[in-house]
Amino acid sequence: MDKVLNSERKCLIGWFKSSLKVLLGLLVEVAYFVWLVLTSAFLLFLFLQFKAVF
Amino acid sequence: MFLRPSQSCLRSILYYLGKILYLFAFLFLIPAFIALLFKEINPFFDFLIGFSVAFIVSRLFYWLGSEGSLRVGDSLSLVAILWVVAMLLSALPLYLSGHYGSYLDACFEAMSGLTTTGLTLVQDLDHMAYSTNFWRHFIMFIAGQGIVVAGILVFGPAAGTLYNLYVGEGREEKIFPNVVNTAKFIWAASFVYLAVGVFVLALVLFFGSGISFLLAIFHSACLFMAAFDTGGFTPQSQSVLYYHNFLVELVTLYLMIAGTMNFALHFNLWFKDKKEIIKNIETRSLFFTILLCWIIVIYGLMKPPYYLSSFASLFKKGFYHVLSAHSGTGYMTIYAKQLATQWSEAALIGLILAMAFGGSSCSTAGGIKAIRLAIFFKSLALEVKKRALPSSAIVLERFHHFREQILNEEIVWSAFFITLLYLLTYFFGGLIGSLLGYPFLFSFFESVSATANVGLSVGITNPSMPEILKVVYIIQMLAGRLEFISIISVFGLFNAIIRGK
Repeated sequence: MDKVLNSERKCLIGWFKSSLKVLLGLLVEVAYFVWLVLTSAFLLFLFLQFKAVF
Repeated sequence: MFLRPSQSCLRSILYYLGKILYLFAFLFLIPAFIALLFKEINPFFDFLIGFSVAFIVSRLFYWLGSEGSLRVGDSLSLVAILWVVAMLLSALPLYLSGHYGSYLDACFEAMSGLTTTGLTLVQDLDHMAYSTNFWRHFIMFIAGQGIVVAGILVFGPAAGTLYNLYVGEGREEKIFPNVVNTAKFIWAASFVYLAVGVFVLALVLFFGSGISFLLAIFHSACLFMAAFDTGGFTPQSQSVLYYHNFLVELVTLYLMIAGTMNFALHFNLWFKDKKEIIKNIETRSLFFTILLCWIIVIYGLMKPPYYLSSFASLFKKGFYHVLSAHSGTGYMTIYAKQLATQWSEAALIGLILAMAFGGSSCSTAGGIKAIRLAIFFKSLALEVKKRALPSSAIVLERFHHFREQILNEEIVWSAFFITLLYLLTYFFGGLIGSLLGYPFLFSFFESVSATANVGLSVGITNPSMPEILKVVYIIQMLAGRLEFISIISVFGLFNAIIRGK
């Protein structure tokens, strides 16, 4: 009985760990997206400043 | 001299065709169930007819064929034939819905859906039955990951020569050594995103746009399938503009980027090296080309006839379309007519470049692909280095794409060949449109949109366009999705049947 419970616990921990990994991976993808949006916004800001000056 | 394919070879093609179409036939039952859910009796029977025809065709092919091994060329031809038959079958319920002027229009819509393009010839979309509307998006989701990829998953243990079919669908990278496990991961990743994407979009639509719960689920499922698969169909005729909701734009924007990422990259980020997103040449190339196109579009939007002046409007309207074009999605937050009349030529050229470049390989995006562009520039750098250094010097150019790789002639030639085919097809479609009387820039825009499986339109694609142009775009959409090799193979097969010895 203990062996079964132990293996189930290990399985649960394994599942939790891999879910956490996937979640972290998703967060990295979101970070790439945010970085892209921010850089694009900065470029637009520069363009508008440039236009205002000249 | 061509070698005429043997009887057993042709029978093997029919056998595998029947086998994959057998699976495809059962997909018709899902919208049939939705028709029942929404109490749509006529569409229910449309899907039942679709299922019956697909089932009979698949069994016919299966009985006429016999199991056997396939040569590489035959496998690739099989993929192209499969996609054409899938188009003819999935067009059935669309045509029966009465929202299409002809069967050709329905075929155009089906091919646009299957290839995740998003160009549409539908009439009165806003009054289309939910189940038929769902079918338009559902075929995007299925074919976006790949019809063969779905087939491999179901018939996995008997896959045998299916790796060549996988390659024929425009995918070369294997995430796992085993193609069955690769197909499994592609679907697993898609379902993870499906769960997250539909949940978030449904919340945004329910609380932000005041759409009822059931409809919010329906709209979010449709939007997700078309955004993540970089398709571009929307449940309403006004595309994403219909929702007038910034959060919907933001979520779809993210889904477009996620959809344009390589499935192998998803795998690496989830289970292996998180730094891959910075190191990979593909994500770097994508980042650079998006910004390049964005700069051109900003410049274009500031030229007459400009209508966007504030930071917020420029960013919301401009950047959304750059990303929509670059990812190959085709979602719009403006009217198609505005693109043609209010966007300057420079801005349209920026969008054309974004569409032509496309997303990552082994994703649902179309176009030349980021990796090929990166290889192109790396090979240029290599040539410059070779000329700058003494002839006795050994010059190497490396790049990181999941592992350190050295640029060699085979990689460069393969990238150049496919890029050249894309460029020729872009120009060919543009030329045909131009000969039919459309302005060259507009016809070129539409041609690139079709070949790169994007779906942005300046208005040429409509039910009254010439029939010949509809056929040309269908071929372009298919060729772009399968990355030409399968189409070339099918011509080779027919040539061998007729002229072979």
